[in-house]
Amino acid sequence: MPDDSGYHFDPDFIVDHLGDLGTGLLRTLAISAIGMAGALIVGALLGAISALRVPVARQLITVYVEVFRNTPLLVQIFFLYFALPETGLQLGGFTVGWLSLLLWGGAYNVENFRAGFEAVEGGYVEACRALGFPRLAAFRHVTLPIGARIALPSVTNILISVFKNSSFMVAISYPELTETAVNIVAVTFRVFEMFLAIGIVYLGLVWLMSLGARAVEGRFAIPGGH
Amino acid sequence: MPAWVGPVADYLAGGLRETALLALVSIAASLLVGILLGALLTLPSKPVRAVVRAYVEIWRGLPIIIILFLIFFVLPIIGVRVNTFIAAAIGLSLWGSANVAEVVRGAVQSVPRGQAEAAAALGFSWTGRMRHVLLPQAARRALPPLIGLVVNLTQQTSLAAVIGLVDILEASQRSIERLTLSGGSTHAVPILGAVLAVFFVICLPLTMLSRWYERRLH
Amino acid sequence: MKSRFGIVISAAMVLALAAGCSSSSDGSSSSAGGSGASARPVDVGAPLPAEVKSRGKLAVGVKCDYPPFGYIDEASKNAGFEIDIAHQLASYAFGDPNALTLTCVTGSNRVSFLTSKRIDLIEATMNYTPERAQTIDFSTPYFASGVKLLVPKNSPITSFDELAGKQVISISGATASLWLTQCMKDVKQTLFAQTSQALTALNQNRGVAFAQDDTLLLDLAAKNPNLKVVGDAKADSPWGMGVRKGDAQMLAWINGALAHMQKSDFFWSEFQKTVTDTTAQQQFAKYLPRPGHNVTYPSGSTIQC
Repeated sequence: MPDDSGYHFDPDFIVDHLGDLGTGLLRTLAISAIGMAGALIVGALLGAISALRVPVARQLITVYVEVFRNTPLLVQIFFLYFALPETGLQLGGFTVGWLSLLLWGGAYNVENFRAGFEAVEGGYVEACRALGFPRLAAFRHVTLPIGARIALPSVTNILISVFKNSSFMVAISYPELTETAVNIVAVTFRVFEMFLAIGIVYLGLVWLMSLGARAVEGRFAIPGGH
Repeated sequence: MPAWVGPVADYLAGGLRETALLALVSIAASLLVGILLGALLTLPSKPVRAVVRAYVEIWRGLPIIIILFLIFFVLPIIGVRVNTFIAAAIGLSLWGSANVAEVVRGAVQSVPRGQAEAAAALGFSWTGRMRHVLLPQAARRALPPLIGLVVNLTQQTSLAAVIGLVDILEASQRSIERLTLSGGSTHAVPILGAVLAVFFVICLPLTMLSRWYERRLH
Repeated sequence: MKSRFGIVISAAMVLALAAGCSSSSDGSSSSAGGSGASARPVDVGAPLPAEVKSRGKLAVGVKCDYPPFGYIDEASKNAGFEIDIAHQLASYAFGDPNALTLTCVTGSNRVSFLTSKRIDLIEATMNYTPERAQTIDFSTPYFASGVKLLVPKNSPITSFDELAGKQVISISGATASLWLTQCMKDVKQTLFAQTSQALTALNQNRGVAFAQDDTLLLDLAAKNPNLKVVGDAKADSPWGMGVRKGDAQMLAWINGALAHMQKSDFFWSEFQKTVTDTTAQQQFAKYLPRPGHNVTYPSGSTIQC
């Protein structure tokens, strides 16, 4: 990539830093995995409570969801890492990493699951209740399996976003993949190769996850549904 | 009010203007380009769809931070020089338009097939079918997710702080920097709290609008 | 513990008000002093590069987190020793000390800002190292610093040797981090982009020490009575300005300008204004180029273990 600013493209340079980048990638995968799993569980659980209209809990969940959905994740991360210690609660970079992703993804998934559960045809539940099932059992055997399938595409979308957003940890200098790349560029100045390389890594992983998500969605698609 | 609040609030206000401007520009560009690309994705032509599909997959698949770094540091090396604001706007618009395109495509394709076929049988061209039959119906379905994307884009403007645009987040960072380095308390809780509050006040009405509209559709 | 919530609300309200009315002044450079605004450019013995000249402004990357050398003051303006030098450069170039665009850079992105042509010049507390000199060209030096440690007042740590196996805070891309990476491989570094983040992390005990330039640490320790500076200076080396590799015109102009400042004893007079403590002035006097006193780069590696 020769030009008048004296920049020369040097692919070998990436090879020299594979070790550091690998460690960074592992950290990315670790905080993403915990964040994704947590966002799934929190979303399904709180989404169910919300759809079942449990008093008080439902209002509290709404507050949680609205606060995290209507403020930027980046600012949430800053807040958890730099501001929270002022109130006496200090969390490390790794903890803030997965926790912030979990809270953010969880908030979106609560909405996704709640909408899914509420989209289940009322007639199914009524038929179930008429057969003598208690309310919770009707939810477990009818609303949950159907509603979760309706919610699945939007839920997997958020989970993939959780993975991509793990890169936001540059804000708190937690050395996941992107921050590792920034730190290598700080010493080697090879900005072009580095961001191109990790861009390809992210794209590849997102692509793989989308394939996986589509396979799962296909497997659990509601027969005859759109 | 403590003495430190005045200068910080002034600085944050300047940042908020930058944030608002960036959000408006990025939202407008994302909607404009995204709706066009979304419509193209429903074209029968395979090559056109493949090109647009590649655009959508790349800019939806990359983390926005990486897009911003690429635009900011890599474009100038290949001879394209843009200032920080424009770089941020381009980065956010690439991401935003790819997502809008996907929403629009989904909405158009959710209109029952028979309607497009009936319109075609009546002699409507592709543009005619789009304009008179598909887009009006798709627009109603696309509106809630599009409002969601507008909220999302507004929040993502905070990433411009990573490439040094003095938006509200970067202004808060610099204020915390100054207060910390001058030996006082960091005041991170009230300052970052104010930033969170500002975004919340802007985004909540939009989120509620989107939900209200979605309920009305069903 | 005053009502924090009240502060948030009032700040948010002030914000909303101010957002409505404030209209001009875009953050970094603005009117400031009318002193010498109508003065003529100064011939420094080499022509100003045509690109800079036609733009009418010098674009300089400076520190915003490094008091008293480059920081943001209460009026949200760039201030400090290096900022004063930048204004002087602008008045040499255009006869106007405000013909200047200042961009905040950090240790990790300053070279990228230069190579991507976002700035003409790095003037950001950058130590000369032969490694950096392979990617950019250094001007003649104008100051110097070495790496020391900032620790809590009650810390048992007194030297670098005691850091072995411990978590140490530093700044990404800074000389301190380079030295630790090369010379103390068993130290675990926690790297931040900004000084305040590192300082906050130290106060929160996220590391046992903050390794950084002694020039900055002395200032931080003076303002934070619960902290102290320890250790012998490591990797000490002069600071130079950075220009793009092979940009001979810019290099010639900046060296000419620096020589002009040395001749008029500008560095010393500005430094006395910035650092008012006389013992600190004496301590750093030898690093400042003055008439009859040159500062030079060392030969060979500056990072000695």
